[in-house]
Amino acid sequence: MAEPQPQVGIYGTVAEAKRPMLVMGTRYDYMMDHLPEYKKYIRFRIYYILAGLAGVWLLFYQPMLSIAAFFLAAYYYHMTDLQKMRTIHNKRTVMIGH
Amino acid sequence: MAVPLKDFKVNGKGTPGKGEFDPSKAPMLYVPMESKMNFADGTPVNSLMVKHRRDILKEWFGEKWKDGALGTAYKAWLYAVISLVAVLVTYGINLWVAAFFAYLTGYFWSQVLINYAWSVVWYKGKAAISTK
Repeated sequence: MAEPQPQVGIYGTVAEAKRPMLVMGTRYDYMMDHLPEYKKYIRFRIYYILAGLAGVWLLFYQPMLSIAAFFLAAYYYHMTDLQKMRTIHNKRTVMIGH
Repeated sequence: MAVPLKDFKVNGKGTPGKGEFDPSKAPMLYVPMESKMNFADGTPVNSLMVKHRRDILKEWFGEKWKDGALGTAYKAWLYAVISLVAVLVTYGINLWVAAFFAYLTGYFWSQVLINYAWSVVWYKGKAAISTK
């Protein structure tokens, strides 16, 4: 038996806000809205791995430069975490039609 | 000041301004208000799938071949370009090897077209409702 989907409750709310609380667009628009953030996440992940590897390599040849490399690795590691919160760990609700 | 729903105008005007949500341009989505019936296997009928952004993005930007998503299109494009370069490099060395890479180029380019069609172009007509 298939996993039951969560039910959609029908509620009505009239708000005087100028912009709507729920925005209806296309899947394409939603995807293109979040694609830049997702690309940043991929990019920062590569940066922190490369900076970490460069730091290890520089440790044996230019230890002073390895400090800078490890700083960049730590910086991009946290930036990767931030991008994850915006994209693949984000809990904002999306409703899509079948 | 409360306004009856029938008199409500976006931003107090008839037409929404630049960058504001225009309901007339939104795609249509049929939402049945209530359903007491179940499918044959006992699962309830759902009009909409409610998900989190994380699930949606993981699904839509997937990069595995089976996902057939936007990430797969990127990956297939990269492989097609690499195969094309391999054709040019091996052309003067061995024609049979070049022919193999030519086959791979065509295969990966077809994957680009298929994945782009099903995960990008097709999504232009599919509705999504998200919280602001």
